[in-house]
Amino acid sequence: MRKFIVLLLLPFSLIGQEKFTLNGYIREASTGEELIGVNILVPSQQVGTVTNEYGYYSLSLPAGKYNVQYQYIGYQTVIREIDLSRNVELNIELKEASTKLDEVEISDERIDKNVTSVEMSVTQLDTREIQKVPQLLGETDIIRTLTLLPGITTVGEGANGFNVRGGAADQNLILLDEGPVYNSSHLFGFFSIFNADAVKDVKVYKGGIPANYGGRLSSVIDVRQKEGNSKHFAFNGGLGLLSSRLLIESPIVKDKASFMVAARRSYLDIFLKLSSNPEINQNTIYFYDLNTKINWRLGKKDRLFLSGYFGRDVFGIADLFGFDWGNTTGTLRWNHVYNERLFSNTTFVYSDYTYNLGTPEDDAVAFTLTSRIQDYHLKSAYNFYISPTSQLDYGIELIGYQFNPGKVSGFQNIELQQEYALEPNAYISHEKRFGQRFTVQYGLRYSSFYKIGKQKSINYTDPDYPTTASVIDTTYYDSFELIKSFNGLEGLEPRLSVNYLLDESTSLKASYNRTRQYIHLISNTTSPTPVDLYRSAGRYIDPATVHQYALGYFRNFADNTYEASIEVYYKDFINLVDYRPGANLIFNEFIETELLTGIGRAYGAEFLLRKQTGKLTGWIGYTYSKSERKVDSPEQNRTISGGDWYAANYDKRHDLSIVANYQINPNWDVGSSFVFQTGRPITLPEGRFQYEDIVAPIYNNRNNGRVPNYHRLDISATYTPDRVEGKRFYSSWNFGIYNVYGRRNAYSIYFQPEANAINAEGTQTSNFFNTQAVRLSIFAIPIPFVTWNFNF
Amino acid sequence: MKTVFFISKFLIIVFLLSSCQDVIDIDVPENQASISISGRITDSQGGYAVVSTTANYFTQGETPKVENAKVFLFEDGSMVTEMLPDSVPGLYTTSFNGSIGKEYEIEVQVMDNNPAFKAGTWRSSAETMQRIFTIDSIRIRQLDRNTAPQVFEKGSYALMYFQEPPGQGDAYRITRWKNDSLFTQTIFIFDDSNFDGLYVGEKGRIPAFNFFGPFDEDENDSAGIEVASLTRNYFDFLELVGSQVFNVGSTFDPPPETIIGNIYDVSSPDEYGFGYFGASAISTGGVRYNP
Repeated sequence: MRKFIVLLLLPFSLIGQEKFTLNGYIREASTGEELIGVNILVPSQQVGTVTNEYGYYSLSLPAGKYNVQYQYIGYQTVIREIDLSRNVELNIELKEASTKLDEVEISDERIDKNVTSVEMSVTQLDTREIQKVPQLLGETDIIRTLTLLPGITTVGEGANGFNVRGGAADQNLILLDEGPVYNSSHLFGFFSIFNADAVKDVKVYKGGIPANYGGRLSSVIDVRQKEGNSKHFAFNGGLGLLSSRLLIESPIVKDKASFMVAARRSYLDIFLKLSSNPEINQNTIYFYDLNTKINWRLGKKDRLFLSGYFGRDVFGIADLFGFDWGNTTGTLRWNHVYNERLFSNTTFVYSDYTYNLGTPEDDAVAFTLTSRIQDYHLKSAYNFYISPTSQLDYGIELIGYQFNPGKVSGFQNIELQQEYALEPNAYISHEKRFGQRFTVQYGLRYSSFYKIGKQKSINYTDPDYPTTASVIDTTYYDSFELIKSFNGLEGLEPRLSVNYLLDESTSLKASYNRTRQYIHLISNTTSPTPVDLYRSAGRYIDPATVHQYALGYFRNFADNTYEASIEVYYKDFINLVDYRPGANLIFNEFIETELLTGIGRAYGAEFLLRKQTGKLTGWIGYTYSKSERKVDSPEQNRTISGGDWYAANYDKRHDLSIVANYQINPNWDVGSSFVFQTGRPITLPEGRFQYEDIVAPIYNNRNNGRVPNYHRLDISATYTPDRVEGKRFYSSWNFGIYNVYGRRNAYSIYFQPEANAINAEGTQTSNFFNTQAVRLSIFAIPIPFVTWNFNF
Repeated sequence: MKTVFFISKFLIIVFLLSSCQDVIDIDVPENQASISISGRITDSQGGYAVVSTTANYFTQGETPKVENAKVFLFEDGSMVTEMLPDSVPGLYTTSFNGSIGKEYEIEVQVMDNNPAFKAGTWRSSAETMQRIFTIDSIRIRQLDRNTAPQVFEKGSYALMYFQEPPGQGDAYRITRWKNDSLFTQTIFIFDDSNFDGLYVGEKGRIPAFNFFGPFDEDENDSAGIEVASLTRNYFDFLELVGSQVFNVGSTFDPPPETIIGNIYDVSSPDEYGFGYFGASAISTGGVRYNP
């Protein structure tokens, strides 16, 4: 272990003597929040850097005097003259560009990161930008806003999770202050769990995933919570139709320590109580979440963060039945600056996803089903700023998993056995600029996975195709005894991104990444449900892998006012888990007997035109894409759709989003968004057969049809009264309409006997041999909303 | 299954204000008609088979029946009887009773003179008749939420008491009657995975099996029950039919799946027909409510 630590700190000794380093943190002037991704430019040297996830930057230059520019969209640029005759530590505070209309142009900086950065397939969203997009019930929703970007879609309204570049919902690594979140949805997918007030920054990687991220195939959503105002006490919040929220932040010791607490609770249940129908008014339905963070600067070199998220959805049918689920994450972080050029972050993360369902405890025949996944992460990451054109990032991580697939307690006690696994990994990544035009970032991640005891593992006659009928016996594994390891060369995950600047406003980029995923969400519904559970790779389930290749052309226009990009990608998936026909996945001890393994491919082209400054902001995004899967085998019963390629549930050929916000005057903002998407695939019956008196559909090929195309227009307006001079309290009103023209978009089309519609108890009706197709639309009418937001 | 039911119920509440369901016209693909067989052989009530053809999904009414087929029943590989056409078109019956532990198959020969699809011989794969428990008693009890939480309405219910035979793997199908009218359009199946070898109805341990109720307090109604043993295959088939026909209409529907039963074409065994021919041992019972 000691050797390892020495290796990690090795770059210490590599530090050159000829140059001096300018380093420090960049913060928001009014709150003291560190800013992520701020551009630091030295025009005379044509070099620059950006702040990392903790607002830290470091630039090493030959001795001399320099004009250094600090630029960040929406903030006034700061220019400092720096005499670099020794190492200089310089913390900068950036002031927000005033929202007053006549001053907007001042903040209109020449920021060309879109073109010059080696990153591609990446989008960074500012919560202020998200707040301008019209939202369902006025609830500022990060995930819903992400789905307006090219390459990110959902199966439909009310679908849990989202899909990135033809990947399944479980292939997204969703990090909240580095803690993985297993279910990003509230209310079965209508809203996301992120309270936008508490969020500082959202960064999405759809491709070109850097080596420091791993564990999921398709994307990384890196969400960073606010640290808490270190300057003065402040609060903000809002009252909306769906929920209310309040955030309080304050210094504990000014400029040294601060905290943030944000809470949100929905009150749909209160509306239910207004109904006179006892079927409705006795029910409970709400969600809440709590975001907390404390940070402490322990001198110039060290900083500690402790943050947590607690969220829950609670449902109840009268006092008969209850159902709740939620995520908990806790993160303890230690930032340490070893020297001007070596920054480190050590993190411990605990993450938990639990769901419970059952009857009240005092029932005569009470029962509770609890299911849970917990994981623990310990990681250490290092940024070594070798020179302004060369940066080395490296780190190690160990993840421990504990799966509790299900435990029933009450009138009977049964428990599916717990499962345990370890996932150690390490990465190294180097970004280097050659000359003025060519930048390359190459890295390697190595991941491995160990499924360990204690476990009783079932043996089957054909391990490649386990069935309940082919159980031979069981093998007992003791605590920590190795059951199955994945630690070969297939754990190597190379990453590569290159950028070639054609001219100062145009670049060509290319990237390749191989990512590997050791835990799978086992689901057989169109979109995942809260009761689906992750299962790990092991004796019968292999890890999944994807190769992704992407190519992009990036161009900025009109002095970087407009950013445009075209990206094409191809993804090749191996070992995707699919379910067998009629699979029963809930509370199943023999889960492997319900699964099949297949391959997948996805490809597409994404176009984005974005304007982030000026009176008019927004973007137009269009994606043409295809995502398919294939489960083939010499044996017919191990195939899906006869072993042919079939469309993934979330395959959508065309996806167009237009998002616009216009500032009419200092008091009024108007916004709108329009979405058009090809309807999602569904499986159409190719006939009917009669079994007894039941007419059953004949389905042959999975996803052989589509629901009609989806389109929707939302509008909103925000009124911000003039702020009273000298008063810190101000508020704004946000109102609008979701689905303005009341389009009845089909979430699904289902096929049923007509009798289904009126006959739940089985009494015979005259028309149960007749069948019908029914379109289910969610939010099929224009839905108005109003929210009052306040700040102090 | 229960979980799915409750989730659907929650969703109904969520969607109440804004969702809508419209019956729409949609074109569906259509394949060549194929054979469909439903039937069973029992240990005490003879056997039957209904032979019909598949049709376009939106064909309204019953599917066309095959009237001039030859239907033979096999026990442990040997033909034991021919099932003869009944007056109801497409129905073939026998009074032959099977025995627990033996294997049963039927063979259906479809002649040239059937216009719906090609002539040929279709067979069901072998089904072993599984054991069945004897019903210990059927009683009527007053139940409410305090005595049985799953009872939504207070009243008199018909309860079945029985000893589930020890040894996991038993599966059952329940069929019910009110007076002499059968509850059709339901598939009510369960297996012993949660109560293997227990006495169902043992006080303080496992509640009796509630199969009917509440009785109408003014009527002298009777409730009947039949419990039929199922093989795992038969159970899986019925479960799939149930989920594909009755469990639709929410965002958490099980995805559409091919429902393959145990009927195949003798001349090319990869070609399957639809439906299922099963073998079941049965227990029956009933009770009358006295107001």
